[in-house]
Amino acid sequence: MPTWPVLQARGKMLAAIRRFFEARSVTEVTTPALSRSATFDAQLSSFEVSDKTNKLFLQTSPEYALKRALAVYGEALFEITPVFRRGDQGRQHNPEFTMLEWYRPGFSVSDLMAEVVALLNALPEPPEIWRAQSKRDVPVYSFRALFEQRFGVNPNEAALSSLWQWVQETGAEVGHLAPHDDDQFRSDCLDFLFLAVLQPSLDDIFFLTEFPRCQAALAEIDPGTGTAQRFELYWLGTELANGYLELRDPVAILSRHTAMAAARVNRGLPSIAFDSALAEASALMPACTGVALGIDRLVMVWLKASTLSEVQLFSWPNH
Amino acid sequence: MANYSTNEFKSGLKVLLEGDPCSIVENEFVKPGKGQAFNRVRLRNLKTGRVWERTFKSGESLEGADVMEYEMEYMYSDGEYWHFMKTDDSYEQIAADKNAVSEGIQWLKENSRCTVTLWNDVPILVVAPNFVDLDIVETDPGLKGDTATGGSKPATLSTGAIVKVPLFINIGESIRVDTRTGEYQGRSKSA
Repeated sequence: MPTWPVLQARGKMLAAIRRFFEARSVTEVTTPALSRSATFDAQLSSFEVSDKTNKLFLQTSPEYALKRALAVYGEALFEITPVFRRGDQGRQHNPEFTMLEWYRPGFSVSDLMAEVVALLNALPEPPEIWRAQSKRDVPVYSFRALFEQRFGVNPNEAALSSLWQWVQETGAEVGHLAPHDDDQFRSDCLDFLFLAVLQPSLDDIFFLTEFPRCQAALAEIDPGTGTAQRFELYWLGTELANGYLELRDPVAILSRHTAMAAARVNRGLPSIAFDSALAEASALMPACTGVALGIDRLVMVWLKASTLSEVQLFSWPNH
Repeated sequence: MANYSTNEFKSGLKVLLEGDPCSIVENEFVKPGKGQAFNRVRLRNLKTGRVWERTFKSGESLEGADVMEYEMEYMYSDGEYWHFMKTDDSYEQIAADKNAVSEGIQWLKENSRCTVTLWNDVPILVVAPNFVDLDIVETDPGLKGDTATGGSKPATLSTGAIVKVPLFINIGESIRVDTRTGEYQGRSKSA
């Protein structure tokens, strides 16, 4: 349970976030937490809620709804909202948490990373680690470059058998990974190699960009490098934020869905219907970048706590 | 027994892994942004005492193990079995074989208390208290007054265990031993 000073600090941080966006003319909106469509990401599992006529899902992020709003209004907007992810429960995970997500028409990935830094600089009472880091800029690493330096091959092109061999050569227990001949397995291996081999030598706080194609999710692919135009912000090994140059081509969105659907079948996960509203909205929205930031984790690292339950009221299993 | 999913794992939960009963020591949920979520779990094998580290796909489950721990009094050995009695007024007795008593038995004198782990009502492990007081039945003669040189010598205890003691300790004295390390802690307070 958070102490009262922790709750006060959290409240002040939320107020500072709202002031930050107001000053930059980014408008706060509210989208439904209950939706007819669910994420098709094979790593996320939605809670289902049903009434007599509808099967509904609690949102795993406001991404789809915000994109529909962007398609209609085309303006910079943000939302601070509860999101729900079934099964994600641990020291730094809770099945319900608060997400800040915002979209910036006309922004590049670097523009948005700069705005994430500006937002953190606008928060009250920064911890020493952030004061020290923000003085000398937050380093930006390319996943592709780090991987090529260490393994001598582009992560898009490395053979699955090589990736699996490198995973096993780390000597770590990987009983949870079963080889599949699909992009999701490539992504699992790359993720594991990043955590086990690449990340330990990086700074305490950094951005990671230029992700492999199989981790593009709903981000554009850079035609030059073949990498996904997304970024993540890491803080002492914890992922705090995750942004994309948003994919707008409905054909590409359908093919990402198809690849994920195959991965879901390979893993015995329930299939998720293609959300044509998302594809239509994506085609209509302006070129933009968007980023999601976990508020509870932000409060956790800002206050130097090590578990979400220290900063989040009634976290599971005490919900 | 019920099955337990990874999100029900917590320290102290008893589960079956590779046919052996284990106690979960630590359970960490790991979910990198884009990869398979998994649980990194440390489990103590209750038969061997060894700690295993395993990873499980989140949502996987393990069968629960019917494991109970009781405080019991050690009564006697008939050479093949070691006999214990519950201290909960039931006076229920159980017999443990050599595998179960393993190293714990060298610290137990008759009528002393210990922790006995039962799996499906069969004893699999006997653990002595962390500190026990035992009499010395054999050691070289003491060097009177030599409390400073720091030398040591082997001494046989009433249970058969052999520990290193300071040179000034004599046959017949009672000493305190840390059963986790087998190290001499001092003369018994009551002696």
